Parts: sequence; C-alpha cells; structure tokens
Amino acid sequence: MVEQVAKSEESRVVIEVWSDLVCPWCYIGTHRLKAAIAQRPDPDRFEIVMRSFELDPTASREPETIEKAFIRSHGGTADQFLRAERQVQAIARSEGLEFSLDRLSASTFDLHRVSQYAAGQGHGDEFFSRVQDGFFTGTLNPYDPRALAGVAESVGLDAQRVRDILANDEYADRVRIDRADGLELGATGVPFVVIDRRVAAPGAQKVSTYGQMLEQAAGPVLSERAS
Amino acid sequence: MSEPSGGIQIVAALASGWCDPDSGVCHIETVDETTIADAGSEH
Repeated sequence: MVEQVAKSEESRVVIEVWSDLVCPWCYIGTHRLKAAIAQRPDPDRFEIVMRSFELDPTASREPETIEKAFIRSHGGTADQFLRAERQVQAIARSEGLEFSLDRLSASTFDLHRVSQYAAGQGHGDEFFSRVQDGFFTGTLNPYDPRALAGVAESVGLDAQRVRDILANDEYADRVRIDRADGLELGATGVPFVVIDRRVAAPGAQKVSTYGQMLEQAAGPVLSERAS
Repeated sequence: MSEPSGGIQIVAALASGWCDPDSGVCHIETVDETTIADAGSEH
C-alpha cells in the first residue's frame, strides 16, 4: 500500500508575478518558476496570478525597434544594446527558450488592461504568457489590437470584449494599482514573485531558488512511501 | 534574507537578471551566469 505522506489536498497556493511584457527577465523568470512548479508532485496546488508592472509608463504608443527605444530613453549605442541582448538570448536559448532580437517596443499599458480583464475571467496567466511567448519568439505583434483579440479568443475569452476594452480606458486604474502594490511590497526588481503573500524574490531567480520558495510557502515536496 | 516587509519576507537577492522598476533598465549581473554572459551588462 502506498501512503501519501504529505497533504496533497491542502489549500491552494497563490503565486503573484509582477511582470511587464518588455522585460526579458520576466519571460525567462516565469518559465523558471513554472519549471519549479512542474518539478513538484503537487503542481495543481499552485495558481499563478499575473500582476501588472508597467516598466515605462512614459513609453510611446507608436512601436519602434527595441534598440531605438532603448537608446532614446537611456542612451548608449546600438552595438552596446545588441551585445546585451545577445547575452540574454544566449541565456534564454540555454534554457530552451526562443528569444528573437527582432522585437518592437511601445507602451504596454493597453496589454496590461486586457490582462486585467483576462485575470478577472480566470485566464490572466494563460493570456499573458501566450502574448509573452509570442512576443519573444517573434511570432506576435502585441501592439496590434487584432493580435491581442486573437490571443484572447484562443484562451477562451470574448474577442469582442477585448476590442471594446482596447477602445476605451477600462482597467486603467487596476494597472496602476498593481504597480503601486508591487512597489509597496518591496519590488526592487521585475519580475517580482510573491508566494502566498509570505515569501518573495525580485528578478529572475534560478529554478532551484523558486523551488525553495515554493517549499517554504507550501511545504516540502510530497513523497510517497510504502507502508 | 531580509526582515519581513508587510508580512512578506524577501528570501532572495536580485539574481540572474532583473529589470529596474524605476528606470526600466534591465540588467545581467550574477556570478552564476557570467559563464554565459559577461557580468555587469545592462540594457
């Protein structure tokens, strides 16, 4: 007979991830977090809740290449920027993630507003992750309302509702409140992962670190033993 | 790792990489990943 030692039916654990689309470490960090969850035998206990953290509230609504946007905002040269991008690309690829250098940068405020709607429908993580994956693999223009509506529909959301949200300013306050909440909780780096409102870590941590955090918040990895 | 803030304990320092909440600049600055990427980069 096999006895389940730990408490597999225990309460669910909410993992909040403050993230922005344009943040490469949010892309990498989220995949690492999900890898840590997948390594546990009780992955269904964990619910990821995406929280908005708009890194540049002053960003232009007109998309431009990531290097142009960076140099305009922070200075430096295209060569310096692309060298750093290639370093992140190497890390992403070493972890099995595609990482396109051919990305566009613009305000992510509207995306966050739609993400808030998706979260309210129980599809926040799924929606945001699909947009994020599409953006970093170079297969999705997240600044195209039709593309966002298409992703929304693919996760079971109402595409027309998304088009309506994009045409007005719904959820704007929620986006700003999320950012303020993250800062208040101690976000010194994005992504900012908070597990069960008990433990937190800024930046993209290693899979093993996320595993330790899960254990600290949710208890040790379940094991089975013969009895 | 740090004193709990608002009931939350920050259990890890900035690691592999992160984006600065204030400036929006993203950084790579960890020992672990200097084998792949040079330390001290930012973009």
